[in-house]
Amino acid sequence: MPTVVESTISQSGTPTYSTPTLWEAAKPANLVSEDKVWRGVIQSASDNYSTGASTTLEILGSTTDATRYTELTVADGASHLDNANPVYRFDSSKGAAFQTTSAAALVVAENYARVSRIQIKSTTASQQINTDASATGVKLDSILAEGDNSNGNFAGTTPTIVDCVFINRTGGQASLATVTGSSQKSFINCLFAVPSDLTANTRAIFLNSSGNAHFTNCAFMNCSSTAVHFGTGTIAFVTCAANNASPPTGVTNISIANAAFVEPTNTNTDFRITETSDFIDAGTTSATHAADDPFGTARPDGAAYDIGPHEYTASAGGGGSAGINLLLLGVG
Amino acid sequence: MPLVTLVIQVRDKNNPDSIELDAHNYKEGDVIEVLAPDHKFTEAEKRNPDWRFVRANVPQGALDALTEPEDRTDNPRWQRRRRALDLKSLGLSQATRDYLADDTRAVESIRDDNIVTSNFTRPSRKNETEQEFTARKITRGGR
Repeated sequence: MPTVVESTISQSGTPTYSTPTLWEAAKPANLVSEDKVWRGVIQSASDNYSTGASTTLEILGSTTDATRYTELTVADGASHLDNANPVYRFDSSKGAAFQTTSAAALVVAENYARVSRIQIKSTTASQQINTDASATGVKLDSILAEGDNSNGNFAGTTPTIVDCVFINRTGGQASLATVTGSSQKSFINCLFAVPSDLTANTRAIFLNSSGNAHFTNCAFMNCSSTAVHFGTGTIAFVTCAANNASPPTGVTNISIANAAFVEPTNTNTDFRITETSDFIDAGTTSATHAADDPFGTARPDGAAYDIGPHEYTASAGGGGSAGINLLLLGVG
Repeated sequence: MPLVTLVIQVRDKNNPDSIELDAHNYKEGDVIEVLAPDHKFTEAEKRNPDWRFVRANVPQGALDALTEPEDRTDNPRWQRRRRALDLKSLGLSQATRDYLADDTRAVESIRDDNIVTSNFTRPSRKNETEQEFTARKITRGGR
């Protein structure tokens, strides 16, 4: 078994490293020969790494394999996922965050690297998240990527993107994510959305001519009437949903109203689903991915996985964990 | 011209497994990160023998360039930093040279507004051959 070298990262207290970049820079060049997993845990909900025009974190350079890799996550209680409403709207006061103005905030260019539970915003960049073409087996989990332009560029060999949310805040943009490269990119229980009161994007996914993407239990909301995707590469959808009149095979037409989000508009966006949502139990149960939703609910809660990143659970009421918080406060 | 703290790599971080991975690692003179002048470093950061902290006034327009990677277009051997500071520059003061050479890190940081003037463009490794890479592996120091 490899040794897990776990380091704390924070802007306050007495962490091992003060920034994600310094944590990453201290990593051994060869994790395989050293038989290590290099794991960083951001500690505080107030850790807001805002790096202007420069990339906030770039993971690359080490020799890795599937069991000895680099992993960055956010501690329990410090993620945007752990805070009360509004969730699924970037707010650096409500969870650890990466921010840039004109560069990809997160670049993952190392084989088998894993990143989870962080919220990311870039105001003008076209790629908040970039899985590099040189990397194999990258895993992204429970990330919120929000921006004024396209949110992700996914290249590389067999990356897996689970429970992630990509939101565009200006509307009317070309796409929410770009997929390039012939190796399959797997998106599971992800949400690609423009708030309902903004102009629809032209498309959710831009797939270039050699792109290969596979979407399972994903939702595409408020993109144009015909283009859930665009491009000539290989694409497949399994039990996905979009508010398009004529969606492609594997995508069901579900209106934003029938998706029954907590709040689909731009002001207090919360794309968790409520008890009347047509997303409930409409997905495909996976034996290998997304056993829990980003809020800790075990899947499936019901007959099958729900579509999108939020697994509705009646015990938590509308809005999942927010319902629990209200009960604890004795409200309602 | 803001005062900043530069976190500088003072020796090559090498990966002998491949030219590409090696190019992606920090090398001598790379600015790892630009931080506030009063940034509170952790004990692990203060002890790292590969790093030094230099406070300097840097023109605003030059800050982003210090951490800019090499262009990746058609270049799998892109380097993590397109530019590197010349830590052996004769223009550096003796105090700065002594600080950069001290692996004990007895002094946490130093102020040197001239260090960025040694900025230069690092040669690309785009067309480096396996033979040249092997030769560099044999001759270079660092971990």
